[in-house]
Amino acid sequence: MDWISFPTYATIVLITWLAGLLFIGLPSNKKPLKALGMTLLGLGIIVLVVILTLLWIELERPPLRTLGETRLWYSVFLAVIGIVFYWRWKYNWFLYYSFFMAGLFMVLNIVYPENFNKSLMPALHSPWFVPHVIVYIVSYALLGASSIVAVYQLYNNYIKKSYIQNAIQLADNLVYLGFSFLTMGLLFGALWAKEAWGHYWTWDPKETWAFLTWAVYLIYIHGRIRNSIKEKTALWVLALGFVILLMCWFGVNYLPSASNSVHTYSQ
Amino acid sequence: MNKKRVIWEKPWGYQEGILISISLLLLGFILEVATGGRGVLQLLQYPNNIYIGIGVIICIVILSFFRKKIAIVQWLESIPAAISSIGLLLFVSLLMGLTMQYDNNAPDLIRKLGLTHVVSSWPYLFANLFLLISLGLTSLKNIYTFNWNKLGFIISHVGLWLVLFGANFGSVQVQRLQMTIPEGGISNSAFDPSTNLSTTLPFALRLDDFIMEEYNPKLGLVEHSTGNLFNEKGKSTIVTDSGAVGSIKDWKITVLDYIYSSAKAGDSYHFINEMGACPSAYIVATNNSGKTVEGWVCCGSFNKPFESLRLNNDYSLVMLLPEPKEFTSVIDILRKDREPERIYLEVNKPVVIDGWKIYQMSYDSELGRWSDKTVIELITDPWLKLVYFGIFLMLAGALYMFWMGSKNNTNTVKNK
Repeated sequence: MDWISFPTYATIVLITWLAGLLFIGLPSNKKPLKALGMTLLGLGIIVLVVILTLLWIELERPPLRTLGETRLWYSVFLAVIGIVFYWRWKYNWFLYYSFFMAGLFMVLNIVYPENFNKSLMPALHSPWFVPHVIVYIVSYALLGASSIVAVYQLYNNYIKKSYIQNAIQLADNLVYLGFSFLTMGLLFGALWAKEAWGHYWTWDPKETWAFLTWAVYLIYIHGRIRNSIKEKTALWVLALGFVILLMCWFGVNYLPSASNSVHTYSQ
Repeated sequence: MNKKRVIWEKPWGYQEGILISISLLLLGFILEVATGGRGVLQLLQYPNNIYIGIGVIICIVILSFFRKKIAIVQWLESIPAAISSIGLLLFVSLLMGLTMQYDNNAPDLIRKLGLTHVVSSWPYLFANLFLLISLGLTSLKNIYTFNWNKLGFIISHVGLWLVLFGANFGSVQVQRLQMTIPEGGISNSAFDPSTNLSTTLPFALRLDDFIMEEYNPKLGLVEHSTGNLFNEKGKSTIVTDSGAVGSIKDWKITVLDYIYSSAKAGDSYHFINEMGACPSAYIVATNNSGKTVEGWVCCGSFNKPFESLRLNNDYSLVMLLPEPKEFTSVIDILRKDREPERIYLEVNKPVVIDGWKIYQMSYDSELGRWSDKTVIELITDPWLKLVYFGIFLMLAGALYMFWMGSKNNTNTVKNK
């Protein structure tokens, strides 16, 4: 990535975020400080969006092909979700964790730089490419945020023996939104697969794991109706769901069956 | 509180659901082993798929009429049944996600259990039937007691039911055929790679031209000791283009001249437009200690040798084969009593002819952009419309959920 010095830009983003979180987390309850903090967080997001835009222009194709490229989008959406849901629910911890995760994904890209490659295989030349991947990444960011809630609440339950009121409602909201995006991503994928590969569903390893992810969240949603399953069980389902989601996103490439996958675009 | 319910005492809940799921799974495996791991493909062959499909619908409709009288039907409409059936399908799919499918080297036991062909195995069929029945009954219950609040629920559930039903019972009727057409040649016969049987089509196809567009090739370093391409994450290749400058390892590489279509004459490369012409570039490479090497590199083609540039004892600069960007078959469709119809077939842009959807599939990869033939795929799926209808209902359901998910949220907060 010679044309943009990615590590420099990424470091700027990380520093603004860190400073923003510090201002928000300060014990003093002064409003201007919080506003400054939020501005810094927003500024970091803008820089990240600029990186993505430059990348798009430089690569002459949507930067959505490789895992590293999708991680950048994930950071953007997770950060935006962190701010929107913090604004709505006022949980500081939720803001910290979502920015921590967004930052972690940026750091991964600094530590493991990819060979930025302009070429896009013919199968990806499609109007479905951008909506399919973007919708998925938004969904992954929402569902990732819901697992933050689950893990935090489980940690409180087991270790600190305390309980945050309404946290599971926040998780529910994240899952509802995330699941609707997940369903759209899955179905866009099916419609695209019919155009590109001739069939809407071939149980390619990536498709199998995408279905598994979808099914776990489907179980969570049904379990939450009228508290049909215990809250603690629901939280475990949510935590497990994210493990399967990560398996679908990154892990599939390491499975023995991945050699047959038509979904391997990394290198 | 009343006394604790014992298992199998009505109304059923999760315990019964888990036991039913496990029993179905075991029964599936037993049947699979008993039939020697042959799966259900034979059983579901057309027209059996139609009979079984109709049987499932009749079964669901009849059961739904007695929903108030039979406790099991009420259970099948319940959340515990929904979660048990999704859970069973999830578990069977997890087995598929963890094992190699259609692996001929798999141990005999794995094959006999159906784990090499999960989608056509008994456990998978049972999991789907359980889900179809539970989902079907729930959908019907809500249709019988329709009110506008249930609209989102009904469209997403009916949509999923149609997709599962169509995909499960329709897949055996999908026909995927392949046809190879030489440039200038005509073909009306396609073969099924799974059975090797040929089919004569009601139309013929003539390939007028095969056009391929390629990306500019990349330049990289090959390590002499291993013969491998030097790979340092981030910077290990440069895209060839006139005037391009880049660095790999400690070498600064400048492309002075780039010819997309060329051949060697004497000591240098010249533009030429003939079969097998290949990309070449004139390179100047300088390393940190000031050593400069210059010369031609070429990636070669099926009839031209490649040429690399030796930098020092350890490394040579090479040009990699260009990657395809787009390929198009210019095809005339020939039908009785009709004028030939010209189509341009590209990846991702299939064309429908008389009920067949035809796809650009492949070409002679050895010849690359000089390929003198095209491979196309012809597919029919009589159940596709049903599945698509289901998919669009599910999409509408997802949008509804997106909308209502946040509305429900405001309501909960207002109530507090």
